[in-house]
Amino acid sequence: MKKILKLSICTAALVVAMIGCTKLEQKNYSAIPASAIGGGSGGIDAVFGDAVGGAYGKLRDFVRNDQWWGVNEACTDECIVPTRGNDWGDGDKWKDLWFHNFRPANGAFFESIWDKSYAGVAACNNVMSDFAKGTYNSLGTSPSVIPLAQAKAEVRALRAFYYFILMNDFGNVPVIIETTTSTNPSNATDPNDANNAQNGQRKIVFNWILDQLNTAIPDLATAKDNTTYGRMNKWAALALRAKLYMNAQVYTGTPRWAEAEADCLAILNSGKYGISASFTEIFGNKNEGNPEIIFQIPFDKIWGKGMAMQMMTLHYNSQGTFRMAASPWNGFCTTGDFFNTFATGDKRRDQTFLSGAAYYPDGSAVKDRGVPFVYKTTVTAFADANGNNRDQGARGVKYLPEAFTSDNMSNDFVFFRLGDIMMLLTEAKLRQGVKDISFVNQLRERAFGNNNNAITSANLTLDFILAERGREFAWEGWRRTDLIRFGKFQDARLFTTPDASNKTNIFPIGVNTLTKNTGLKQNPGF
Amino acid sequence: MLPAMMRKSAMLLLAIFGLTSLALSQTQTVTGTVTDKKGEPLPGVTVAVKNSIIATSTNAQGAYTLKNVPQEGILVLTGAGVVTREVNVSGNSIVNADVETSVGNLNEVVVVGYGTARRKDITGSVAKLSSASFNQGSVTNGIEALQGKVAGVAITPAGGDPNGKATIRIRGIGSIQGNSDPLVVVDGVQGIDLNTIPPTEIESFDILKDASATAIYGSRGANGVVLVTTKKGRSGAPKLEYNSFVATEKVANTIDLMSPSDVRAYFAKNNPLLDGGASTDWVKAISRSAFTHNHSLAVSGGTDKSNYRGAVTYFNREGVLLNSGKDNINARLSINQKAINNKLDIQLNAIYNVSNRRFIDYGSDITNITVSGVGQESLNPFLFAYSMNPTNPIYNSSATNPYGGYFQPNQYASQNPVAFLEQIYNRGRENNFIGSARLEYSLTRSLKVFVFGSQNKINTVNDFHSPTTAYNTSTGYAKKGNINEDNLLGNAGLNYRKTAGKHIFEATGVYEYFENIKDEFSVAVRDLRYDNVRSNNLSLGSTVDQGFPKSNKESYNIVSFLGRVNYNYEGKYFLTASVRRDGSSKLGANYKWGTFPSVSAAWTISKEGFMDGTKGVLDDLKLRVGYGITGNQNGITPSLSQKLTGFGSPTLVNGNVVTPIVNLQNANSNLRWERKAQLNAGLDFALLKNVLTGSVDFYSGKTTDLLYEFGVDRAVFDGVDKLVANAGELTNRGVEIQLNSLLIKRTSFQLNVSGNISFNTNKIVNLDGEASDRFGATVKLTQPNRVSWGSIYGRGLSFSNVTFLEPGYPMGTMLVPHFTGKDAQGNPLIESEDINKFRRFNPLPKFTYGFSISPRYKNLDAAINFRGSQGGKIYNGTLTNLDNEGRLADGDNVYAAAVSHGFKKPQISDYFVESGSFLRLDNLAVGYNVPVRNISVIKNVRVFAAGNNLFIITKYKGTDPEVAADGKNLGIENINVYPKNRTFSFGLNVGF
Repeated sequence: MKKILKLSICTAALVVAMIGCTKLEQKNYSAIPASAIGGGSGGIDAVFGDAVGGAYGKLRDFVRNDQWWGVNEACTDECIVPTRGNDWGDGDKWKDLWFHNFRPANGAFFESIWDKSYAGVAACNNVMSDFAKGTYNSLGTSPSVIPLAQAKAEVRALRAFYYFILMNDFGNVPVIIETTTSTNPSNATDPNDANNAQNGQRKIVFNWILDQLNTAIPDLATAKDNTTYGRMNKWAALALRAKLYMNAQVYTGTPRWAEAEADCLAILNSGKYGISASFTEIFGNKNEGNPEIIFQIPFDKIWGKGMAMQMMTLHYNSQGTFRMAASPWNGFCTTGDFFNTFATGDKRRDQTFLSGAAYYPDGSAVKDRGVPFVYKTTVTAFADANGNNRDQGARGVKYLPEAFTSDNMSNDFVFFRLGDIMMLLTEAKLRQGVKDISFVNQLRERAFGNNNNAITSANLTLDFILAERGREFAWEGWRRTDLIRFGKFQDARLFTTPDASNKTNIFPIGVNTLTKNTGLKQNPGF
Repeated sequence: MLPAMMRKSAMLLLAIFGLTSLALSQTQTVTGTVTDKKGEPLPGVTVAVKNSIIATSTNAQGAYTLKNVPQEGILVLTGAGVVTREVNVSGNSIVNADVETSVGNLNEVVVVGYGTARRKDITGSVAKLSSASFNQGSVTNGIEALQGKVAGVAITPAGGDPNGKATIRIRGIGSIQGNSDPLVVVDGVQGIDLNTIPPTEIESFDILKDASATAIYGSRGANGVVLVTTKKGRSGAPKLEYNSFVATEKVANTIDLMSPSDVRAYFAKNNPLLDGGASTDWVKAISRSAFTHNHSLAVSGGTDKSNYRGAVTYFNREGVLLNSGKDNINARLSINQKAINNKLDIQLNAIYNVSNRRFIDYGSDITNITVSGVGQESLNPFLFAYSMNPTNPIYNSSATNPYGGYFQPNQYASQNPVAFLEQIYNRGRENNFIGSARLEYSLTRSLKVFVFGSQNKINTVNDFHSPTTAYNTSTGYAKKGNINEDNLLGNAGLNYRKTAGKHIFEATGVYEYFENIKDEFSVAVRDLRYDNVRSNNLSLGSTVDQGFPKSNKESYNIVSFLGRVNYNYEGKYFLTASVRRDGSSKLGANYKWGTFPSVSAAWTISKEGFMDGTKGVLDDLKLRVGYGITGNQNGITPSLSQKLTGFGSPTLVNGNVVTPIVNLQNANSNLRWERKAQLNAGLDFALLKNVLTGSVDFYSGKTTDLLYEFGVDRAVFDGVDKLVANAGELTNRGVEIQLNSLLIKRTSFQLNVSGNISFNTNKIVNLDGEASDRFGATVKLTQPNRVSWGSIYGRGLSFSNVTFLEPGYPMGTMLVPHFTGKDAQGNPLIESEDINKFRRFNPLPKFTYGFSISPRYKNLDAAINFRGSQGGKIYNGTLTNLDNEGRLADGDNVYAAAVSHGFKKPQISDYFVESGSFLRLDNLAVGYNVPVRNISVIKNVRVFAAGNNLFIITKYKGTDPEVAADGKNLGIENINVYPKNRTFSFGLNVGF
């Protein structure tokens, strides 16, 4: 009896204990649950940065050698990445770019552009759906509250910007917005439209981007100051739209020069921008407030990393010359032909490209393999197994190297600047039959430091404009777009023969991208 | 009055009588019980008086009675499956003895999940290794004592790094990204780091290999379970043990490089300006002969009712690389107490371990410092030491040298490895406390109730400092961090055992609760104004590094119900079934609970009547079959199933830096554990009067719902491009054979030989899974073709993939282009760049094996342990980089034969795929039991000498053919590999 009693008590105790402890609650101590940022009924008063900042942060993934900038530059006449001994072989990726042998199977670069651009799109979509849900009552704290309509317009314009990058590089891309439900959104290129297949669906994307900009522009802020630094204001959106119109013939088959001209004029006449007195300051370490910059991507050596221009281009031992934190990678340079397109006295040449002997701050010569080092301007071979081409090619120092940094420079990357708008205006007018040399000569006055190199109307031809754009905007990321617009992208360059077809006007989609989204079809010809 | 003659005879008679009676009274009857080491009585053991014919056998209760035993006689205990033992009678009339049972003996007691059983009653595949069979010598981690000894258990040693980890893999690779470590349970405490248990305190390992044995551990048992039993007290007078050893180790093998003089000659012909003027063997410069010493003092004793064991161990190991090493102090106490008429059994264990570690920095701490040209994970001094120009000096004492007296080459991807090791300060201190208590009460004769609770508290402090004179940190960097972790385990259950005639029935039911809480904190600063205080005064750093200070806290818990029933008829037919129901908070909302059943049966064929004629040849034969389902949740971090938002990239708003809140991770309410179903069939046998024992096991296992990280389309999945989901199917099939034999078993000479061989075939069947998109709808994810897995890095290669995950092939299948020769400029040529024309190789071996020979002659004993692997292929990334004459032009050092091969640039190809087969002499140990009969205090003295990794037979030209067991470096040697060491040790054990 006693035993049974003892038995029952023990069993009972155990059972009670067991039932009591079956809770399986996953506690979240440090992560922010989704409910913290809006969502649900009843809007919140959010800090602007919390709400929209994430969409802008993605812009910093565009300017490295293996991202949008490097890929769009290394296939043009102004930028070449030779294989120097054992460096920059990289599975022939740079060779493929230079020789326009775009291969989907070797498509890590194309996947990178696609991926980073859609990351930006996704971030914008997130914000747009927050707006649609009525998540926010207000953004910012008084007195700097940002109207909701303006914030929404900013995000719309920013998303249009990401799509511009995608369309410019890949032609036809799936348009995914905050209400898209398909998990394999398609870009269905019309296979029957062989030659203009790129334009077939590309036109639809183009029109959609235009539509987005048209909706956004009226609501955007018009200031150019701290409140719109690094952000989409009305003028940045207009500049983007101007670029769309300028290249409309490439994207859709129909030119739209007049509309481009109108947008450029609107920016010029706004009175907000002016030509920077110093060319180099536009791209310097502290170029935040430069009067010429319309839209830039802010970088900072501590909180905004990703600007690695100095690393990509300078020779290893230039680390000492510029007191950098690490040894550069000795890759990107320009060809001798391009270097020589600058006339004597054109200061832009040496402000853009570094050539000649290299020295340490104390005056002693930089040495490479024991020999005093000189940056030579002629590139004699694409690949040299012995690395004898290590010192070849003038290097791009437009984005001035910064002491004590490596791949985290503080120079903001300039996307749109007034000089570009001026040249586009000149070009748009020329293509409509009107010759206006005033803007070109303003830029040339800055370039030469005097008025002795002004051009005449007779000089103003399309060829001249392309060449002058090369000199003014070298290494700013627009060369590929310009060459395609002028129909010169397929021309032969150093070591190459002309492209067999103009399929190279767009990049192929990388194989890994195709695997992730089975709705995608490869671009024609690849 | 008797005449003198009569008196003399009378005295003589008396004397004779006296003597005789004296002699007669010097023999006696001796009784006693013979038990095994667990205290279980052993029947059938022969008890004989040495050098006489007086002998008997123990009965079914292990008891014996011997008459006419001389008082100073010696009893010799022998028998089938028993290690011969001699015991002094010393005038006692009751002489009890415990003897060791030899491996494989069916009376052996093995530990199974939540209980113990006799080997003869087991239906699953369990391997047991006792301390007598452990590898001897400088064993730094208990698990290395098992290397090569158990079929199906592959132990890849930690290698030369004193802070490295050994990996244990049971029956192949069971998981792709989910962590294939088995569950380690020490005296009932789950999930302990074996480094906290000194090897001298380990009594035995019991390894549960097949699913029917591990299913009782449910969602943590899929990779096998290693049950560790530590030494406990024993009844008797207090015994004091002193164990110590000293060891010296050196790097066993590195790549042959060109010597400084050869390089000098080459430079003289090609570019004299590259000659730095010195002659430095960089690999020698960064390594040294390292010393280890270990001392431990243990005291144990007790009575029938209670016993105890306490031990203090001090261990200090220098690393072979400069400025590296580890030392720790460990104290443990184990108390066992019986009370209330022996109905209550109390076991208490406590361990306290303090470790001081001196790490080699592998770049993981300098996450915010960029080193040009190499990826973060390849910051390793061997990488630099191999390629550094041997004509460069180590030091540069010029006054203008900013690098603290070290020479730095100011050359791409090259830096002084001696400076790297000596300048960087990277230390950790870990305090680890494990306490556990177990109470077992016999309610009735058949019913027991038990309660167990344990707590494991780990506190780690890390300090890191890189000075302003270091090449990578011109402004200095200092970091300090703290991690606290707490693991709580409690279980309670009932055990019922009833014998009814020939039927024996046993049932166990347990409830278990486990909780883990971890919180961490760290701060890092740069721009140090003063270096020498290192990380002790972080306010001297002008800038707080981005992302700091940071802290994090997370926890999870697991609730389980488990039950097992055993049925045994006449000791011939056995049936076991178990089921476990686990709930884990880490998993997705739809799958928090899972059920893991198993069933197994066994038949002791040798007990059948028709087998009677085989006795003497086939003594024991038992057939086992089992099937079970187990789970693995090792790879799941606490918040993996939830939607998480956190800080994204900072941006500038109105001139201020803001860090926005962005989506970091999508919810996955379908996240569940990996699930493994395994069928096992085995045969245990004993032949030739138990001289040869062994087992053969066949198994076939299928793992589904593998944890796998899919690359996904960002726009569809809310901005993230990676998603961890359950996907795919993986199979492992194989055969294991284990043989042990006591070939020669005389009193003065014994020879024990054992061996094992394991075959395993691994195959990925598919990688298809599903997840939820941003609207919550289910999306199918597939990886139809192959996915890149492991890669080689190096200058000019920048991460080239050589291994892949491909459905239909084993994990890590290797695909490389075919080498066809080289052209006139020295460029290596390959057949085609089309991956479909690549050659395919398998990094996993066809079979692995081990064998041990242990002779014993009187007081001298030796153990020779070999281990080998046959058939796997390795991609030699080190030679891909170093067999490259082109690098000499840059002033880098190269492979000794590079100039004669004449390659001018690196190229991934099958030229660098080599056979990874090897046979290694893991361990050779010789010991001597010094005779100490005359010294009263000292009971036994043993000295031994041992060597580890004495030699290896292999065709592999790289550093060492034992590369990673799984993960991304499976089948790959990358240039930063840490070489293995060769160790010589000498030890002394004294018992008081």
